[in-house]
Amino acid sequence: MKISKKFTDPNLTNEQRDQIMEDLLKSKFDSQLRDKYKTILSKEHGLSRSDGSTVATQSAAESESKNTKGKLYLVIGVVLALVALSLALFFSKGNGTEAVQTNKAQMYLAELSIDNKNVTRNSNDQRAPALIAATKAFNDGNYAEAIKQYALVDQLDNENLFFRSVANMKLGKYAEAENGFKVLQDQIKNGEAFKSETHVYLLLCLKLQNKDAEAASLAAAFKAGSWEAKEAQKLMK
Amino acid sequence: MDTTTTEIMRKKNFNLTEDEFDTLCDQLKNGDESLFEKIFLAHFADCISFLKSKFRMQHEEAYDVTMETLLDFRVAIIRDKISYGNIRFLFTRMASQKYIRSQRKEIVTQEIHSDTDILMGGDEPAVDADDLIYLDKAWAKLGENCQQLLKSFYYDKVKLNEIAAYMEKSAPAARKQKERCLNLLRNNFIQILNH
Repeated sequence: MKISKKFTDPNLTNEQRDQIMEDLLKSKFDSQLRDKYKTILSKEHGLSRSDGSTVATQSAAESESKNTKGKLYLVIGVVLALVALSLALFFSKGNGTEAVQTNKAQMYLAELSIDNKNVTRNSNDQRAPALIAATKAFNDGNYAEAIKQYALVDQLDNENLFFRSVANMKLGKYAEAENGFKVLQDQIKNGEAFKSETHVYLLLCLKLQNKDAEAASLAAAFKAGSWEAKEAQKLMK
Repeated sequence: MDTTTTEIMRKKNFNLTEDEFDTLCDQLKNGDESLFEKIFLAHFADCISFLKSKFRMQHEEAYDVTMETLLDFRVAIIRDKISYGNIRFLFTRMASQKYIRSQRKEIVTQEIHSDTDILMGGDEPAVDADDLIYLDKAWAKLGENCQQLLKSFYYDKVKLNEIAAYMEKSAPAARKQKERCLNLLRNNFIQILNH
C-alpha cells in the first residue's frame, strides 16, 4: 500500500502516523535540499555529480602543467568572452528570441491587474481577520503583506490559494506560484471560478522561468478560441 | 586558548572557532541555512576526495554519499547531536559509515564507533514519486503556520515545547494546533486521492 494512502487510514496509531509523517517530510525536504545544494555546488564551487574534474584530485604534475598553460587559456578566454559579449549584445538588440519571450511574459505580469473580491461571510470563522487583511493588502498591491496574512491561516480554500499564488507571482516567487497554480489546476473543477485564470497564470509562471517546453505543452492543451488560448497567444507568439 | 591551539581547532572544525560554530547552530535552528551551506558546501569536495581515495569509489558514488551525509549532519546539528571538537573527522567518519551501510556490508570496521550511529537515520523510507506528488499538493493547501509547525516537528525534530515558545503559545495549545494541522493535511490527502 502506498504510504500516502496509508496516511489516510483512520485506524492508524499516533506512532504509526508520526512515523509516516517523518518519512514523507524527510523525502520531501531532503529532496529540496539536495537540489539546492547541487545548484550551489555547481554554480559556486564548479562541482557537479557527473564530472569529477573540478575536485582537487589532480596530481601535482597535472597541476603544474595546467599552470604553464594557464596564461594561454586566459588570453583565449578573454577573447572568447569578448566575442560572446558582442554576440549577446547583437542578439539582445536583434533576434534574441528568449529575451523577447521573457520580456513579453514580464510585461504581461506587470500589466496584470486583478482584484480580490473575496468576501468572508462567516463571522464565526476564526480565519476571517487574517483573510480580510490579506484581501485588503492584495487589493492595495501590498503582496508581501498579503502573503504574511495568508500565513496566519491554517488552511486555504481554492480562492485564497489562487490569490496567494498570484501574490507570489507578483513578488517574483515564480516557483512557489507555479506550485500553487498546479495544485489549483487539479482542485478547481471545470466551470468553477478561477479555472481559466489558473491555466493562464500557470503558463505565465512557466514562461517567466523559461520552462518553454512545459509552457508549450500546456498551451497546446488549451481549447482553440478560448480565452486561455487567446491569452496564451499573447505570451507565446 | 592560545593562538596555536585555536588554529589547530579551526583546522579540525572546518575553519570555525567554537563561537562561530555555535552561531552556525543557532542560525540553522532558526531556519537560516546560509552559514551552514557556506561552510559545509565549501568542504564537500574534500569529502569526495577522501571517499575516493579511501574506498576507491567512483566520483558519482562519492558525491551521493557526501550529499546524504550532509543531509544527516544538518539534522544532527539541529538536534544538538554534534559538538565542537573535530567536526571534519566526524563528518568523514559518518560518510564512511554511510558508504559501508549502502554496500550492505555486515562487518563494520573498528575505526567507526557507535557514536556516529546515533547521528544516522534508520532505513530509507518507502516513499515513492507518487507519494511526493500527492504530498506536494496536500502541503500547498496548508497555511504557512501549519507548514512551519509540521516541518519543525517532523523534519527538523524541534521539540514541541520549543515550537510552542517560538509561537508564543503554551505547549498544550501548540500540541492542539499540531493535531489540527495533521487533520487538515490528512483531509487534503483524502481529497486528492479521491479526486
